[in-house]
Amino acid sequence: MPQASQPLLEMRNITKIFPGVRALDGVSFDLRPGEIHAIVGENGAGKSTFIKVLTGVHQPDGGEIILDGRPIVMSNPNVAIHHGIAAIYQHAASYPDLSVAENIFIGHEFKTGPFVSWIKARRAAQKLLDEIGANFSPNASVGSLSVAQQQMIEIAKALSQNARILIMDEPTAALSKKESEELYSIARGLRDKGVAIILISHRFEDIFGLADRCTVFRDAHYIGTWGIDEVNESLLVHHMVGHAIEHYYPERDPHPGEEILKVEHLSRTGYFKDVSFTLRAGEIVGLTGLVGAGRTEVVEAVCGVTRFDSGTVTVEGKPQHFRDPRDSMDNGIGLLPEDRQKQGLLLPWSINRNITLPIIDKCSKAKLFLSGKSERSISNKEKDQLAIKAPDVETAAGTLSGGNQQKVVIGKQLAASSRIIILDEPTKGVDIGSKAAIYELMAELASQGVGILMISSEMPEVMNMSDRIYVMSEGRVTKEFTNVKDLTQQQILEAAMPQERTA
Amino acid sequence: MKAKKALSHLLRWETMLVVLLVALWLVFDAKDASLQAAKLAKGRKATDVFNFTKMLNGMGPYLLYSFMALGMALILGMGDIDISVGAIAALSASVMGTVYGPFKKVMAPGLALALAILCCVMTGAACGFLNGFLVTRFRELFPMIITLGTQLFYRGFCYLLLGGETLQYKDDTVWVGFKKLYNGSITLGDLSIPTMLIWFLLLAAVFFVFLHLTTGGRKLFAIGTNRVTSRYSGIRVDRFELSMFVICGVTSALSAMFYVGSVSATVRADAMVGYEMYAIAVAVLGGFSTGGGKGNIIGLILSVIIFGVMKKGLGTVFGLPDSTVNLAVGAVLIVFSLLPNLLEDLSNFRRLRRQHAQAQLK
Repeated sequence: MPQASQPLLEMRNITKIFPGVRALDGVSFDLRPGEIHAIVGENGAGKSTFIKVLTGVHQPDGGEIILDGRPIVMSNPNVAIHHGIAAIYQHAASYPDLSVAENIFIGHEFKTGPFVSWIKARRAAQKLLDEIGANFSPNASVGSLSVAQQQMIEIAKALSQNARILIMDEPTAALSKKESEELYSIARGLRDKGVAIILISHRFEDIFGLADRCTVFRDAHYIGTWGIDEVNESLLVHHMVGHAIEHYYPERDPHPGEEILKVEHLSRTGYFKDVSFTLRAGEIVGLTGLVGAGRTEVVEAVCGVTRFDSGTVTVEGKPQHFRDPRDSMDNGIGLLPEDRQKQGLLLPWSINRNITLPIIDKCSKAKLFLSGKSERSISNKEKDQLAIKAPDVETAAGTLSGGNQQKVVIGKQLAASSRIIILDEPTKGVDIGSKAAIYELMAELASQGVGILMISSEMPEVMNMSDRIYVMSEGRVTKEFTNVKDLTQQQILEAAMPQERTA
Repeated sequence: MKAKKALSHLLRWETMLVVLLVALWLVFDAKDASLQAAKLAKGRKATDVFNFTKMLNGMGPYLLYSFMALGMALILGMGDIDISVGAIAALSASVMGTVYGPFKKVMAPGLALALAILCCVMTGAACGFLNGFLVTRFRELFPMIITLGTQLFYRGFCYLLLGGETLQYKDDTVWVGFKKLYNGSITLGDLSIPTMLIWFLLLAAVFFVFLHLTTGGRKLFAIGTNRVTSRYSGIRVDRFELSMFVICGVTSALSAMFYVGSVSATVRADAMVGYEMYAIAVAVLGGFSTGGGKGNIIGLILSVIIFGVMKKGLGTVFGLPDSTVNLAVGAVLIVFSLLPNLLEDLSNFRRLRRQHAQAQLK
């Protein structure tokens, strides 16, 4: 329960300016001892920057940080650690080849003279692991543990540094429901011991299940702080987006045309086996399943990013075996890769150059000399059509929010005038406003006769956007649903579960 | 706005290079003038050893690695590195010499030389192809390690061809005459411009157009920025990268051609040792970082001139031995390349101090 006492941490009027962008504009926040305080907001609202300011990674351009009633300067991350502020990130930054104990105490080892005492470290690690209820050995190598267990190590590491303030950045993003529950109980245990927790999450389950209070950021501004009993889901969405979202999923009237993509008996040893599916023009087909079911591997093999051992791919009636992405692009297939930052974009480059990269040969003079004019006319068109929020097309892609970055990657496929678009997790890490915009766009493209294959793990999205759904499990297509209207989440999950476990 | 900003940023590095060049020039010129004054005061005859005419006339030796540096710019722009270019040049020169000897006996010497030059360029291309093939085929190995290996391989090949022998073509009239065509000098008044400089500037212009005005240059920098995204965006990364390594090999062969022509027409197996380091240094000072994705040929041309001026100035005006000159050149390279980072650190430090002062006040 939140206690009405002097706040442990206060951040007043924090402002952070990056070249050309106000990442934080007079943001305030307070944290009481022994509470879990959630920060929510769309991507690009300033949550990450805020955390980086608090942990000393970035220096604020204005405002002050007050800890225990005294102003302090977080000149670097070590100062934050010294004051008992520790952060656990989405992707645990651990050393997979070292043991659990080594990972926990790296950087602040027990020393006997010049030597590191790993015996002491192991003993202390065991104690910490017991404290948070982790059931693995401190001698285990971290690489062999699950993501959830690696996160426990990060928590233990924070505790070993006497953290009083624990920042959890999207802690459940990669966890199953059961693992999330375990994490919740650890977090509650820490709260009851007086640790203050800042929780950053997109999942409403996390926020309503765990937080005591909730603060909303929007467009680098502080919107407000509420007790968790004072708000509900739609109210939070309203605060995050700034207006109510009415038609989250667009109304559609699908008219599937000819079959434009047909995959039969596609196999690649160790990745997927005997995969068959079809896609018609003007159709949106969902391909779902658990993470690791082989969905990405299948579409990458189809597009020539990787290869397949046997089976056939037929595009618009012609059998094809693409050797590389160029091949598949030239035949009208656009692939939006799973990781937009590492596979989809050149982050330091402008929107303009990103959009025209796949068609750079086409929009040049004599297929050789660059033509800034025709490039800009194409990218401006895409920017308008996709409503990419940026001052102009010369803005660097890396400075955009997740949703707008995703729009740029989609713009690349559109500029290449693809007739088949494969979207791999198109709304992963994308904020609510942009999600709705992406759905809208998918509906529009389908109505223009583009065939869309959407890989997604988000059940509501799969069920509301797809005309047909394929479910994959352990490298095989286990089920095809043609009647999506009466489908329940349970039916899809049953098909997605590995066979041995459901039996 | 952003475009202008990016442009000004790009220009800034080149501007800094111009400032460095002018500063060096002024220092050397002042020292030269004071040396002359001192000699005149003692009643001795004084000669002006450092001026524009002398610099231009003596630019030749400092241009030998500039061709390689152009090829290296392509490799660095993609985020790769090739440390075998010195050995490629030595092997190309060895092939050139070895081919010319026997063939001039069976055909017209002019024809034999043309054939030798063709073989030289082909050798460079073949070596570049091998490098590119290994780099793109075995991604798990760093290009640095692969080209370290091929460097030893090519150098070993030189010894197989020549042994410890030195091929001499000093007295060969055809060779000397032909070499004047591409490696002599053009006299304009009292200026004598090395032809090599003109060839270099022509080739640099071609590289400028390729890197900054064509789709090929765009693809090259895209690969240097993010290889994975480039592949997903439809660039045939392996094929492109391989062809750039071939071009780099050809520029090394060009360096070899000029080397054989300029240094008294001799070919030895241990020629051009360490040239790869000059090529890398020139390209890096010119603005091509080893991280890939950036660089400008204008900067590289300035960098070539700066290297020449420094070596000439430190050597003739200050009278330093060659080893000391290298030391100074290395120091300038490191300090100057770090300059942008140092400036950024300084501004961060100032801001922190300001914040501390503010926190103290409260």
